[in-house]
Amino acid sequence: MKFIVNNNYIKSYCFESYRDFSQFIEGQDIKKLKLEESHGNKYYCYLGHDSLSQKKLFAICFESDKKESDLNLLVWNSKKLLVLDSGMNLFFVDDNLNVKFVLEMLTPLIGLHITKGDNLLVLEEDSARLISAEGDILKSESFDFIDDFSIENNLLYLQVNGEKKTFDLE
Amino acid sequence: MAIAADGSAALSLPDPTSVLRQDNQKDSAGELDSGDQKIVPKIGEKLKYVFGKATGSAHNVERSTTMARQLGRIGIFDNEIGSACLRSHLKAVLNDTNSILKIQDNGRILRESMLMGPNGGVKVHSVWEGSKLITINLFGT
Repeated sequence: MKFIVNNNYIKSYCFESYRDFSQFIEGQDIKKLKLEESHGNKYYCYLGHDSLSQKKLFAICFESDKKESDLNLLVWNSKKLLVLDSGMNLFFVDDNLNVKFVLEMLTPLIGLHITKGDNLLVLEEDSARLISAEGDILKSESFDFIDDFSIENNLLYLQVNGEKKTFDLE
Repeated sequence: MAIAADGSAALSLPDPTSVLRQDNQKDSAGELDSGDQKIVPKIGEKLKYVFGKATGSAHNVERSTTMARQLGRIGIFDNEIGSACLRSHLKAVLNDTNSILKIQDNGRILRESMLMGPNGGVKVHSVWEGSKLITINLFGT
C-alpha cells in the first residue's frame, strides 16, 4: 500500500550489509540526508516519491538495531516536519531535509501523539515528554515502568506500579 | 563475569545451584550481597515482563512476548534456571561500570551487555535508577 501525505509517499528499504546499503544510496541521484547520530546493525533508507509520477524526491538514511516494524515515522503536517524514530533518537526533519533537532531516548518508545495544542507527546516506557515543534521540552516526567495508559480530555492517564498518575497535555 | 572483547559485559549460563541461592535473596535498593559484596539489583516483578507475562498496554504485551521468544531462541525459558540466569546476569551488569552506555539528565543509566544462553546470545539494554531496574530491551535473534 502507498500511504500518501501531501502528494508524497515514502518507501522503506532495509539492508543488513553496509556495502549493499552504500551501493543503493550511491545509485540515488536525489537529495539525501544521512542521520549521523544513528547507530545499529541495520541500515535503513526512506525514499520519498511523488504520488503521481512516482519520481524519487529525497532519501533519508539511518542506522538502527530495531526491526522495520518497530520503527515510527510521524508526519507533523501543521509544522511541516517529519519525526523519524531510529530506535535511540527522534529526528525532527523539516521540509528542506534539515534536521531541526534531535531528541534522545533511553527506553523503548511506546508511541507518538500530537496533542490538541499541536505539541508532540513522546511516550517512552519510563517517561512522558511534551515537545514543541521548535524542540522545547514543555513538560517532562519520569516514572517507573509504565504498565498501561489512556488519553482522555487532553490528559494522559498512566498506570505505574499499581498507582494511577496523570500527565497534562495542555 | 566474563568481559567480551568489545568491553560489554557477557555472561553464560551460570551454575544452577549457585544462581538459585542468589535467586532466593530478597531484592533491595543498593543492598550488598553478603556473599560476594556486590550490589544486589532491585528487580521486583520485571522478569515477568521479560518472560512474556506482561499485561496492560498493547505495546507491553507485544514487547513482552517478543522478548520471551528471543530468550527462548537462545535457550533461556521461563523456569527457575532461566529466572536465575537473568537475575545473575543483571547483577553482574549492575556491578560492571564498563556496561554503562549512557547516563540521562535524570540520572537514569542505560547499560549494555551480552546475555549468552545455551543456543546463542542477545544484546541487552537495561535501564536503571540506582540499583532499581526500570526496563529491559533485547536485540538480536
